[in-house]
Amino acid sequence: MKYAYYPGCTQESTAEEFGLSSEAVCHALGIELEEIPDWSCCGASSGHFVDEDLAHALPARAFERPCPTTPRWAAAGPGQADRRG
Amino acid sequence: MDYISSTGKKSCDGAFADRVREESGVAIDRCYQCMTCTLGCDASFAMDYAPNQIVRLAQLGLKDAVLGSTSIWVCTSCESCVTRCPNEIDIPHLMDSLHQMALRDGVRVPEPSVPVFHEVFLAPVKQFGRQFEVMMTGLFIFKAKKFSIKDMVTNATLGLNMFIRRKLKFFPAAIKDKQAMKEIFKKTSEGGKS
Repeated sequence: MKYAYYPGCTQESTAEEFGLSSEAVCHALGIELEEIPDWSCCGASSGHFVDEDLAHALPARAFERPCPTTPRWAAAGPGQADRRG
Repeated sequence: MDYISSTGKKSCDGAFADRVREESGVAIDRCYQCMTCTLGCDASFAMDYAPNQIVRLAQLGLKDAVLGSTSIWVCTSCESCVTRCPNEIDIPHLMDSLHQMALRDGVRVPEPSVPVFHEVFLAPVKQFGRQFEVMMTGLFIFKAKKFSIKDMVTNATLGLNMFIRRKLKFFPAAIKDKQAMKEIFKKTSEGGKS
């Protein structure tokens, strides 16, 4: 099983341990993750705080990145989990 | 119509209430004041008006009370309220619309460091395409004028601890297509909307 993976900025800095454990869990479950090429920030809470269109456009860019081999999605960034973003 | 409160008479502005309904798209009229939102609110201790009161003030169109409140700035968008609301009133979204209105209308902001934080949060995102905490924090200290000895000691201690735990990077993780980010900001928050 292969998923396109959107880690989000925090997974690579202030919450690195979440990124490492998510990847370890996926590996143990036999889920292969393919990172979305050149993904960008989802805007998190500040996106929708400042502007509604910005809050949609930032994560939309990550979703429109072509991920060559995978049809499925896995997202970890806060903007991705947001009902509105 | 006038509204008489403990602090005196205020006039209701129906046009403002309609503006809130239209701009936010939130069904504020469905609120029957059960207060479930407020009881679960993690930020209500820092608010002058509780979330259920903000909804009521918005219904009545009490513009100055709503836009001048601390509540619209300290809401953390945790979404406990809307998750529990029996009428599915999206209060965090209402709060977003209200503080955006307050900024546009030039209302005095009772919690000025909040909009500063969100502005500096997005600065590295626009420049590099990803968050860069060191730049964000530096800009925040500078723009929010957090120069007191106490602030400095707190920030330095926290920064050092985060660095030891590999939670701070000293170089930004820039994306390749930085132009795309500038376009996104130009077409949305920077007023280039068609």
